[in-house]
Amino acid sequence: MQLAYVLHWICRFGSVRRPPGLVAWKNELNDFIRAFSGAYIFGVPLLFTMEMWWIGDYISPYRLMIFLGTALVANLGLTWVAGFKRQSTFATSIDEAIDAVAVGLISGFIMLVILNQVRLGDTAESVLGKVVVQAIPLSIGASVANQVFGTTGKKQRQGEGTALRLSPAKAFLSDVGATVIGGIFIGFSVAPTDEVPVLAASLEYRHLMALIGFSLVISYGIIFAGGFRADQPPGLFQRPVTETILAYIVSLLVAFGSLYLFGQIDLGNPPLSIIQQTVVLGVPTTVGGAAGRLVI
Amino acid sequence: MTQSRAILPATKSGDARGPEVHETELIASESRSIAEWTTLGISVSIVLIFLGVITWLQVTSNGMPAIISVEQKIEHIRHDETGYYLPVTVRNDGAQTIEDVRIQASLTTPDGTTETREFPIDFLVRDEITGGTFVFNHDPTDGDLVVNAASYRVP
Repeated sequence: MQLAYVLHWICRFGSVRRPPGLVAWKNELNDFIRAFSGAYIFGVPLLFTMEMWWIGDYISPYRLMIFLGTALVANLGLTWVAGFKRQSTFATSIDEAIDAVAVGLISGFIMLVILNQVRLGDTAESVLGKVVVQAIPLSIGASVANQVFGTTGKKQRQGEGTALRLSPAKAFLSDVGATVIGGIFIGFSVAPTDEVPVLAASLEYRHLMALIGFSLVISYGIIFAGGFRADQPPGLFQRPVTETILAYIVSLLVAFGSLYLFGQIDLGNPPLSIIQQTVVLGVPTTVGGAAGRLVI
Repeated sequence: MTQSRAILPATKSGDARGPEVHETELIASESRSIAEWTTLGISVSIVLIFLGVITWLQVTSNGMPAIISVEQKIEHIRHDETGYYLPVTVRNDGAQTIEDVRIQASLTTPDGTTETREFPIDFLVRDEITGGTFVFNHDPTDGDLVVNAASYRVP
């Protein structure tokens, strides 16, 4: 939660006139938050795919070279037409392509560590393989972030205009509905798979805590990347921190419901197993829910 | 590095970077700012590190087939009413990644009883060390114990 407060503080700090150097740093921070958010929206389903972990285990180094080369070329094209930075020339598109690949590598590494698929004692070959094969979808997500969030830092939610006319109760229900629909949209592609119980079984207490923290941070990041409303209508979902917490609770409920519907959990299962699986699926449902509130 | 106040035009198709400009964008740099140089430097370093390590792995790969060694951790045997738990570590000293590795253990007790146990390992990359545990009904230290790799597949 402290990370969320830090991010919120940074955002509020942006409303103050500052010297150009700090403005440049703030713009870079905003751009990279947008890039990481786009990466996870696009790449979460593949991060939860066992075959991607296995391929990473045995893929040969020269194929990894081709993977990285493909990622650089694909992202160069994407950053030319979309990108994740607000200011752009052809030269900065090259910068962005390299940045996007780096974002893909780092975001993949972070997520795989939290999911306990990359461990301290793993060989360099195994770690590289798992991270590099995930880097392509994640970096593509970073490169199209401007198409997802817009570029202005203002609220990009399509329903903003109508939300301001809604009563607080209707605005609240609208946001809950968007969170549920977005969570189902991404969560249903992961919920029936074996990955959820396999991951849950391998998680220790510290991984669960990290998953919860990660879900909150990425949810806040996506809301941040979409931009905060300048004139907020009243309601719990209209404040960044409460929106993050409430959205996470709703996303966990969506995860629990999805697992129950697909028969992955039963009410007679051990409570710890239910909690572990719900927290694991809570990552894609949280990302989906945050994305849902941006587009609905 | 000089900075000038300018609003850069939207240069990309699809107008994802349309004419709306955030307050902080009013200060735009004709060349890269220190912040941009810094993040670019970090990004280039990350990509180069990955490329370097991949190249090193490719160059140092000697093409040796898998060499599997299994080490018994006799000193770590655990015993309770459910049986004797013998942990083992498995290592691949070859350069080849293998899958579906079967590790077997056979325990022959002094009274002639034989217990055979097995566990699989999904993948074993080069230099990887992993572990598993065999569960016996009899004390492994009292009998003749043989532990080895039984089979594997090349992915």
